[in-house]
Amino acid sequence: MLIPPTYTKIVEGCIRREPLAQRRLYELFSPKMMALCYRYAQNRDEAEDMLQEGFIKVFQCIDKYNHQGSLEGWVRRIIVNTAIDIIRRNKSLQLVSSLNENIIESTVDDNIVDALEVEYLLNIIQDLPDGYRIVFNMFAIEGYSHAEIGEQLNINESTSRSQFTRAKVLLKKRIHEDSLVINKYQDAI
Amino acid sequence: MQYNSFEERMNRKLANATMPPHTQVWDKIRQDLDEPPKNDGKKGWILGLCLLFCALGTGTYLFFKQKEPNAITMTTSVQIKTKSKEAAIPNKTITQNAIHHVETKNQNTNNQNTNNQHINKSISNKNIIHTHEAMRTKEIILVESARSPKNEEEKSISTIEITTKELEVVPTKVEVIKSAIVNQHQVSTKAEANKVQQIDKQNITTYFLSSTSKTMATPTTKIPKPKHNAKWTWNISTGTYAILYQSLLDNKVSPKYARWQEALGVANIGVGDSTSNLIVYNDQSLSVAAQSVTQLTDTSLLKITVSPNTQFATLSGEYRISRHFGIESAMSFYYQKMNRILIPIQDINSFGEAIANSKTTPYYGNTKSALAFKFYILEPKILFNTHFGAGNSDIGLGIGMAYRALVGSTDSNAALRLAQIASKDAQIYNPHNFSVHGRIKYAYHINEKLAIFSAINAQVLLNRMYSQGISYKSPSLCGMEIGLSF
Repeated sequence: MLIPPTYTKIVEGCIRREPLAQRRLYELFSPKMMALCYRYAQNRDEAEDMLQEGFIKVFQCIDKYNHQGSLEGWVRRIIVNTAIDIIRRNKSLQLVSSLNENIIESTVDDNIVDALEVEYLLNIIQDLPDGYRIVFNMFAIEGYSHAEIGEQLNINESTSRSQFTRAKVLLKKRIHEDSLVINKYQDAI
Repeated sequence: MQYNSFEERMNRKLANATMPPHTQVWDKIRQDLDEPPKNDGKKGWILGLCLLFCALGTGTYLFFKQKEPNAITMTTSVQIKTKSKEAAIPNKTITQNAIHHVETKNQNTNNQNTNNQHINKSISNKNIIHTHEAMRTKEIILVESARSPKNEEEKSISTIEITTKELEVVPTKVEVIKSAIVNQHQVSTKAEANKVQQIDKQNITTYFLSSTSKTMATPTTKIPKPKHNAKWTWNISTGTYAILYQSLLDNKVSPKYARWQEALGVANIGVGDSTSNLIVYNDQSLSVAAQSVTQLTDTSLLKITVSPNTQFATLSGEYRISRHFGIESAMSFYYQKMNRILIPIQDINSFGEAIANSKTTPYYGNTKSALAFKFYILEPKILFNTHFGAGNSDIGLGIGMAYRALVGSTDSNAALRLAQIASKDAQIYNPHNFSVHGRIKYAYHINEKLAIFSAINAQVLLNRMYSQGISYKSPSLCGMEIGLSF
């Protein structure tokens, strides 16, 4: 995949450690990457730490970028890895895979997602337990396979699957509950 | 493209979601990227071993060379020449007391190596009178001598004496000496500044932890109106102090304004200028001090002579060099009525920056030689003193100090920034909002309030000021609010 010439210039500038180029790269991708970090983090502060550390790695490793794939994808991968590292570093990542709770699919209509605000979705993802959150983000949003997730998180592929399933259930349940509250409120009005 | 499943819908919503990060994130990244790479361990080991061998070698050499173990005192003399014209101006003899840890050097050399060689040397000039002739020879003898152990009690306290005299226009020889000292002892390297900063942080901690022992005593005698001679003595804590500079030279300063200052009992005390090595004074209180740190140690004795009618005073006395880094400065002092403050500085760099910035900021004047500073000597436990002149910068700086005192912040940078911002605000808002009378009254009003309420908290003060009808746009409130938002 060819990258736009402007990106090439920016990358070359970053390799030469030119502050302007670094700033430009940061400005290009930081809003998206911030949202990404926000999904992995538990709060905004942690997300900004992830973003900061992630971009430092990006700038330090920019010379390893081979100009073949998408620059954004390359940056995104580094940021995701950094986010996972930080979560691991801050607290031992516990994957609650052995829960015996019954997985009950919520009856919420999937279409409702389209009507929900991005901010709301980010917040409910943030509220998930660490393991659920990471696996859900990696699988559903970043597009990692369960095999890749298993390798990255050092867990079984099946564990990754179950984490994802449970995350999905929890999210749906939350959306369902919140929508009930909202409906009730609107009825009251 | 159809999105059917829950995760696909989530992906579509979130994959390209954006959220702007705070601007500080980039600053932090930039800061991290700018940090020099850490030394690798190998180099450290090699350096360490080299140092170890050097130390062992030196120790062995000294051990065998020394004949009488108790007579370690080594005396060297260094002749320093000065070509300063001002050095030839005689008019006063001043006796300096005890052992001086003062370093001087050739005023015309900027060689830092020479500086380093002189660090921690002391002038052993007990009861030596600096005569006119001595100055004319343009030679200063430096003698290195061993320090005698000091009484612990003495260490914690030093004394400052202030003497007012009338009409002292001509600078003294001591001033000249001091100005030479000032030039020599500028903190010239970042490393030195950092060291000072570390030490100062320790001092600061001590100050804030100790609520009783570190207070600066109130002058035992009220400072009278400038026309009378007077002498004051008070105790001052040991420690490193910053001299906070304030520019006077916004173009709005006029002789008329200067007279207002005089009427209020304002006197400026200054020391050397980095370029001329001599204090320059005029109606606009032009004076420059080139040094930012003063180390007051055990027996430091400062005698400050105030010459009210000329709006400046000379400073004489004894200065001690920091034992650690040989940083010493002439000390300048600004006083207004009986208010004064001392504040240890944590970050000399910030002051350096402030001074550097002042060369380009219109407010502070455009030329180095034209920089004018007032001086504040602050101490945190006094909380807030003190001087609010009637000018914009007075108010701004005062607000910065107030913030620091009120909030109890140890961040002098924040205070300084605040002062700078508030000064600008004051400049913007003041001239059209206040008459000269109004400004003076206003400044005193704030001063009084701050003095009274400084120990409470900033919010109380702010409310008080609001209740006094000070408009929102007034510089002090701008500054104070900025201060509160830090």
